Amino acid sequence: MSESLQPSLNSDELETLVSAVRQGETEKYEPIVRAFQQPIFRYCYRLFANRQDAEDAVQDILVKAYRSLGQYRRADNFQAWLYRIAYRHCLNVLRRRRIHRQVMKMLRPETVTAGPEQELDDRLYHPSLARALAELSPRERSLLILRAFEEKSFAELGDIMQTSPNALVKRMQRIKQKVRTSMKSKEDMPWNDSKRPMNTEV
Amino acid sequence: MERFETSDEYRGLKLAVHTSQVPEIDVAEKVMARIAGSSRRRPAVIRTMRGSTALAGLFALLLVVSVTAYATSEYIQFRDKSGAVRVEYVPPNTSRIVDIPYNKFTAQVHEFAKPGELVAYFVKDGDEAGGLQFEFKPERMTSFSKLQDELRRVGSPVLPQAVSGFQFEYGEIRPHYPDKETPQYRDTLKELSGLASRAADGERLFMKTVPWTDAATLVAIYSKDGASIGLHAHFLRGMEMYVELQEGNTSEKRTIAGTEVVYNEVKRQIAAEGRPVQLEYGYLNWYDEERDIYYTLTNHKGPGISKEEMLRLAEDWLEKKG
Repeated sequence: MSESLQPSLNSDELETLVSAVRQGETEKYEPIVRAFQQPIFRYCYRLFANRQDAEDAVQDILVKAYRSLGQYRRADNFQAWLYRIAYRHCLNVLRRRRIHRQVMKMLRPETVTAGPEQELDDRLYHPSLARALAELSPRERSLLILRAFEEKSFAELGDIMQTSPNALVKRMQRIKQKVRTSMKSKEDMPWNDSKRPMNTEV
Repeated sequence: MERFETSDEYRGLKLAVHTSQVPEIDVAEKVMARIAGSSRRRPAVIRTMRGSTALAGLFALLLVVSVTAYATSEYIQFRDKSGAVRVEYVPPNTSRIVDIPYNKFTAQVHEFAKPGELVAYFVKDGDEAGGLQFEFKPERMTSFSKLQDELRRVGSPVLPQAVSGFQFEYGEIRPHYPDKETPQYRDTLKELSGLASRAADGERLFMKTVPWTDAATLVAIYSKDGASIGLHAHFLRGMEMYVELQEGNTSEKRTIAGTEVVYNEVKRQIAAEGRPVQLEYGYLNWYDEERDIYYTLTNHKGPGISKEEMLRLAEDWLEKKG
């Protein structure tokens, strides 16, 4: 990963930059963008399974964050605050897509021909996992991605999703069970065969 | 500690993802340009919009004032007076994960609800982490006066009974679900979660019908000589709207009766009863900034409606709008 694209910022540097941006030094926002664009993109990319959508979302999220900096408090964790914006934005995008599909189906049913399996992205996920993810709600999928791939703690997830960490632990157990059940029912390969390269144990 | 535990806990899941294929991006310049550009562009856009508003009356009788063809890779946008993008056409997404509602309680809720009712429900130990969920049972209204009454009740613009000879056939209004910050949401949650906490073991679903007064969407179907058109209104409530351009479709922006509309042409092969069928039709979109509503007017079913006829319908509609 290129250092120039994703420099790290310690919390003091970050707060100094945020403070400067809030006082009108817009250009100081660029290092913040560079520091967070890749992790936010990873999250969006795994959620949408589509590069263009994810790239658009990253831009929207970072612009929204800039416009919302006035609401950011130093007592907050900046990263969690930013992920909270990303989480809400992504849920909204998924909701709008669903509404649009429902609308088009109501207006012109025969045009909605693609089933879930036809629209899955095999390039990012193994097909059986993609199907299992498709059966999760956007909130569940988001939680799984943040926990499993972004390795967020339940405390951080609680902060991002504005939910108690204990509730998220329980929710995560149910998500894992759903994914297991879905993959067992749709995949020929044995669930526990860890020697297979695409085994999807969760 | 927890961070390191996830590596092992989700090892299998990670193996099912081609992590090396998550590309690197650099959107810093684009983000900074948007931040800088939005404040610079805004005054110019306001002037343009004011100008176009003033001229709207002169254009009222003109079917086509301007035509701009767009390739599907370009964005069409509807902006409000402040210059903010409210509706945006985006490239097609051919490889996304699709949402499939997964909720085993939905069927029970639907059985409980009567047509036109909004039901709030709470699932004990459910996925929504102590939150409410909502389901609406749609009601198809074939009485025009009943639909008009409902439209007035929910604060929606009323509809014409006929447009260009197409007569009203039926309509449906769907509600906006209560937001978490509203007293209605909080009170209902308190009531249902209270019932859940006192309920016997094994009882998980708690629900009640809730009144609604805010519309989310409206669909109205009109027909003439076997052909029908559908009008869909999406009440945006400050939300931004993205419209995906499907591959192979073309879209062009025009101005009709003083309103910017987008004409979309769909050409696609679909499977019908096992046979490939060429599907061709057009539909129109426009944005009503004053009411924050995004409209779609489409050839619903039956004989195809030509582009010129669709544009005339839209013009008639825009002139009759309430």
